[in-house]
Amino acid sequence: MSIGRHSRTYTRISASGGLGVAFSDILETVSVQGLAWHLALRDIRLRYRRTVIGPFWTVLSTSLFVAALGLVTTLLFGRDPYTFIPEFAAAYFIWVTIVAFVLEAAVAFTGAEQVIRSMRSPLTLHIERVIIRNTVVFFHLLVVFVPLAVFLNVPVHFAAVGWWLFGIVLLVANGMWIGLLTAIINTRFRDFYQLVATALQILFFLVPIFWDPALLEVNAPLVHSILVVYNPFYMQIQVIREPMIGQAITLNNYLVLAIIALAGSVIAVAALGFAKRRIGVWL
Amino acid sequence: MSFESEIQVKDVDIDIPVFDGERSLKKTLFSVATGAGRIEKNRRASIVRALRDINFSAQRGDRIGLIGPNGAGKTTLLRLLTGAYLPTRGDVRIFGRISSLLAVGVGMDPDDSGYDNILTCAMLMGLTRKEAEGVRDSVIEFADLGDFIYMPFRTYSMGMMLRLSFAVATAIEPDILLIDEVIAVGDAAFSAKASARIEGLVSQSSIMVIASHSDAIIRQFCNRVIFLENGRILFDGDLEPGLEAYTKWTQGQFVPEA
Repeated sequence: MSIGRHSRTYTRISASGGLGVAFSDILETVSVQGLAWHLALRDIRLRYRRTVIGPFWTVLSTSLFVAALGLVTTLLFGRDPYTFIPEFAAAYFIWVTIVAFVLEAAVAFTGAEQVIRSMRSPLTLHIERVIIRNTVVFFHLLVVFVPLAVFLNVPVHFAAVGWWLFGIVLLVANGMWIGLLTAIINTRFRDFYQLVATALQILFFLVPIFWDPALLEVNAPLVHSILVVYNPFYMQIQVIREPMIGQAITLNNYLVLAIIALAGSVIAVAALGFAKRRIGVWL
Repeated sequence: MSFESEIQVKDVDIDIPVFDGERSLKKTLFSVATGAGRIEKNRRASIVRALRDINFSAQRGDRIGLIGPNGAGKTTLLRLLTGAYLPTRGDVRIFGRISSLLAVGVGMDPDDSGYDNILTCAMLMGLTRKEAEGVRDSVIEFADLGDFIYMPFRTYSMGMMLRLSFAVATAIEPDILLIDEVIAVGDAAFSAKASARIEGLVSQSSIMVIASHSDAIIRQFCNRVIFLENGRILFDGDLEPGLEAYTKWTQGQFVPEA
């Protein structure tokens, strides 16, 4: 026939699993990028249907949170608002994006149950949809950072824009594999969502987002090395934030996150090979 | 065109694990409703043997009616052919582009207009955005919903949802069209239109498989019957003998061929 991706006219549906099945799922998703973007942008449009300011509700609520907690922290810990507020804002925007990636991916399959059980669609499409959607929201949030940077005279490191983009690429890459893995596990064990949600809530306090890691280095060096030096969540924040607030680039962070992204992808693809046949009946 | 659509299903089993619910109660209920011995229990889950030893093939021009009691495996078989369920054992080969209408409104967002949902749904069925925009007018014309096409999908009646879903599923010119019970909710005018469109598709090259409890629908759309019961094929053949076999089975007089 003339149109469509199924116009390749032969389909074989067999009991096999494994890497081949996982890769063909991913290839199929790669071939329907138009659909992935269409679904992601539709999600954003429909989430705020009939509201007046639409997606800027996310921007508004996140900014108010930053302002409130920023103010309290500045007063409590006596930090300089000119350096602290932009630091905290950037870290928090990255953090909410990580949380949205993981939690929304966790329900990506269960939320698309009808489509998965009644149509032929690659599973990774539903993960990519979540990642695109929240990456777009992340760029919305960054709009808030611009006036902040101007008014507070933040020394944005424009020459490091390449590193900044690479940091975002790492965020997306890690979001993809973690999202896929979370979605698979949560489809089978529905407690997983609650578990992850709880863990992320606690992690918000454990990752140096609103507190000063330098203080910890003085008070508790061992905890400092766990929560600050070897904390992949903090690395993920750093690789995007360093260029934004004019800090020196920590090359090691990029390297470690790239290795995590590669290793994690291998695990997630293997999990997909195992689960591809089962997701439909687990739903 | 030299292309011939074809379906080959070979030795297919599908087991479906069920993780939730009170198992002993469920087991009791299921064994009454769908015949004993179909749900196997192990430590982790109940396993429903949804399909067993399914073998058949279909060639162009076949319009197959899937019949059988509730829980016989009709929907599971359609999901298998769609590619949504993969078999536990066995192999399915399908030559041709598949389009399925297993439930009304799949891929359609209730808050989005019918107009926008056409695009999403057609893209989910495998069209590019351009192609989806290309078929939109013909979908709107066939669905014949008037100004409702610009209203949110949630405001539609079941019949209107069906019109739109059917229009999209058939507008993409499938070689193989799979339809579940849903088609029964259409009114007489829609039924006639749907019938004509299916005739058109099947005469081109297509295969159609439709599951239904209505003899009228099976007679209207089909020329072949597959009678499923308890996950197995009990009869596969011509229309009238198939319906007769099912009637006999309901009366407890059916004797399977050796």
